[in-house]
Amino acid sequence: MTENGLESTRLADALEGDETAQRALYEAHHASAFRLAYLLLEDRLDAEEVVQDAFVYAFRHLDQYDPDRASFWTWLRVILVSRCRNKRRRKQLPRISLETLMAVGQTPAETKEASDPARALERLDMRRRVWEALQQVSDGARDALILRYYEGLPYAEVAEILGCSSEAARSRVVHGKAQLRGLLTAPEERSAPESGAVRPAEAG
Amino acid sequence: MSQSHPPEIELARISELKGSKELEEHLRWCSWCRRTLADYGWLQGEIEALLEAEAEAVPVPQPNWQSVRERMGRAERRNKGREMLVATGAALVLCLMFGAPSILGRRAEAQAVPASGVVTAPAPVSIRDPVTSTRPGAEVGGISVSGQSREEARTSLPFVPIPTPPTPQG
Repeated sequence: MTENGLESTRLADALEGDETAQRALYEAHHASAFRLAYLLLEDRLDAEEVVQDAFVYAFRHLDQYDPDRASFWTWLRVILVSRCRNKRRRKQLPRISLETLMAVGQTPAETKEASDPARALERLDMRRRVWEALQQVSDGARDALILRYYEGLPYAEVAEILGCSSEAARSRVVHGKAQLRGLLTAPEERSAPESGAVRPAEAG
Repeated sequence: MSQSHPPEIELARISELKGSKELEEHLRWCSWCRRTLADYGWLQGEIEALLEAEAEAVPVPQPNWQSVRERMGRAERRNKGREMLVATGAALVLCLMFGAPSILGRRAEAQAVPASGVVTAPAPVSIRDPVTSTRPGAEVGGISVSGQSREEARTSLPFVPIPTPPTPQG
């Protein structure tokens, strides 16, 4: 049986109240759901709680899921992102710096460049700056950036999850990127040369 | 060749989708805008790598199905309680909607009935000795009382009274 076929069977059984099928669906999507919730909330305990909430809601409202519209994961992701946003709103998340994470032993995964210590250090420093900048971006833009660049979703799906139009979803990503660049670039580097003083680009 | 730089947000936008012909023409000549655009490309790569690394680095807890099950049970019980409450409330409202007007209506009807329409029992007629209390010729309860003496009246009774023995004297 294909993965889709298996999931359809599980969904049909879960809808009938079959606990084994519900459990199988939960275990199949738990890790992905947790990682996404963690990126959105930046807190492991909150992420786990929100994931459980999302599954409880999903199983209790499984009759509202339309398999012709989207996959179960897409539907679950809509619930999950909405719960994360509610959680964040209730908590008004304190921002955690990468240093704090490193202090508790949570460093970002090392890349292949780890063999070159100087480059690895430079890269870690840059990543720290991007991570800190990402935490200062507005919530709406941040959610859109995570869905777009971590989940790799097309704008139509980002829009569906965030409950806005595709154009608004694109706009949030664009503004998020602009905010990030603003935070990572020195002001003098960002000011364009005077209008009309356009230099032809060097060949190559 | 376009001489003016596009706003930075426009460059951020075209890092996501193709820009207008004019903008592309501008980019061919303007190194500053090309560098900004390249910055956006680099930034996108950094965001992707950072998010991927963060998500991979976080230790994923073991799936806890028992906890999900318990939460589902609790939610189910809460829901049932809520339904019961709603049903009780609805029943109460229905009772008030349909019961109250009929009760009030009855009370209002009772108040509206005129005094003449009230059926009353006839007042009890005091039974008094017609012989001693009525004058001859008067009517008591539709019966004509004739002017007889006590003795005559006694003899006209439908029964014979038992004679009482004389009380002993001394």
